[in-house]
Amino acid sequence: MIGPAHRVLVAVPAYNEHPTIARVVAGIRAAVPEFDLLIVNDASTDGTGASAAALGVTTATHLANLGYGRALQTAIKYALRHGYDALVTIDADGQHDPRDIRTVFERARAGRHDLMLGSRFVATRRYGDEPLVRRVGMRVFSLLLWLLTGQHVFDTSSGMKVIDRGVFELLTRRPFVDFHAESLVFLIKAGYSVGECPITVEQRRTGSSMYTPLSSLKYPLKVCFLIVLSAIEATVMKRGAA
Amino acid sequence: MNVGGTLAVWLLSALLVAWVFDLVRRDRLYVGYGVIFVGAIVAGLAAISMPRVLGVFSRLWANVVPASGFFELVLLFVLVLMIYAFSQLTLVSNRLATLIQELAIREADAPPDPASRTRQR
Repeated sequence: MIGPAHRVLVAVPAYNEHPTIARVVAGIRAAVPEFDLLIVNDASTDGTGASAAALGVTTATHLANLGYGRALQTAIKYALRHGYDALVTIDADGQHDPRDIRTVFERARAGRHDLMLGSRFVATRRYGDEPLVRRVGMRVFSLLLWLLTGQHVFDTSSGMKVIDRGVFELLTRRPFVDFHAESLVFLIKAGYSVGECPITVEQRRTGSSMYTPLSSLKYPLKVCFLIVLSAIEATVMKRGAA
Repeated sequence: MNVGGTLAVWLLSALLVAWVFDLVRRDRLYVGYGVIFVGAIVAGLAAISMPRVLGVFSRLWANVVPASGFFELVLLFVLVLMIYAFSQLTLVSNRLATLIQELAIREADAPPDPASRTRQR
């Protein structure tokens, strides 16, 4: 669990977020100046990498685009290798308020959670103004997660997370497509603690979402498939360790 | 198709689906391919299990290729080969991704360019 003398890394997976990266970095430095900062540049083509270098931020640059899940895994590997006690992830599109980092971090510490999600929906338990397809998807994933684990998680696709070092190695052992619902099911079924606390999220103003209309068809199928597999694997792993 | 044949097809399909699930679970087959293969196997099983659908398809297909049990065996062989080929593709892809991640971490650890004036944290 995260102790009082902690070293914390804030990681920002970024793909073509040149318009917002400077604002996000400034916000993180202002909100949590004592935390280290890492940008994982997932082979951006719009100058995101150059912006990060100009800001003097430690940057890990993928030579080819690997996707959000692999970018997050790079951050976890970096945190594991450098002995950090906790990793905070935050989106590069400026939707998250960096001031919520400290709130989520403190809640993770207080609750001794292995993974704490900054959740858009846990306070209201409603999916508000999200597009219909996304609302249906989030409800399906939450329902599936509850059926498999017995735990309610309202924002399974939150990009703001606090991850304790106790699960770093586990999360690097196998790739997760996007470290959303499937990784939550995996951790909960494996006996780790996952929490959720409310944060504020703005609508995306620039750039494009990683979810396209085509992915809205493929993504739910893949995630449901993976959620079930993650539950099976975590259960088998836990029984093997017992 | 008689009862024995139907049972054999169901058993074979179950084994194939279990194999695909296991490959995806062990990260030896990308989940997207797994969804496609499972979908194809289930769709094929559904078609075979409905005699009317199977009859219509057989009549249409017989106009192109004579119906033959050997043809179905060839089809099964091709399916198994495709699952194997895509699992090898996934393995190569995973190794490449691991390499790219490692290079990215080493780049982040590299000392800053002395000629650069940007300050590193």
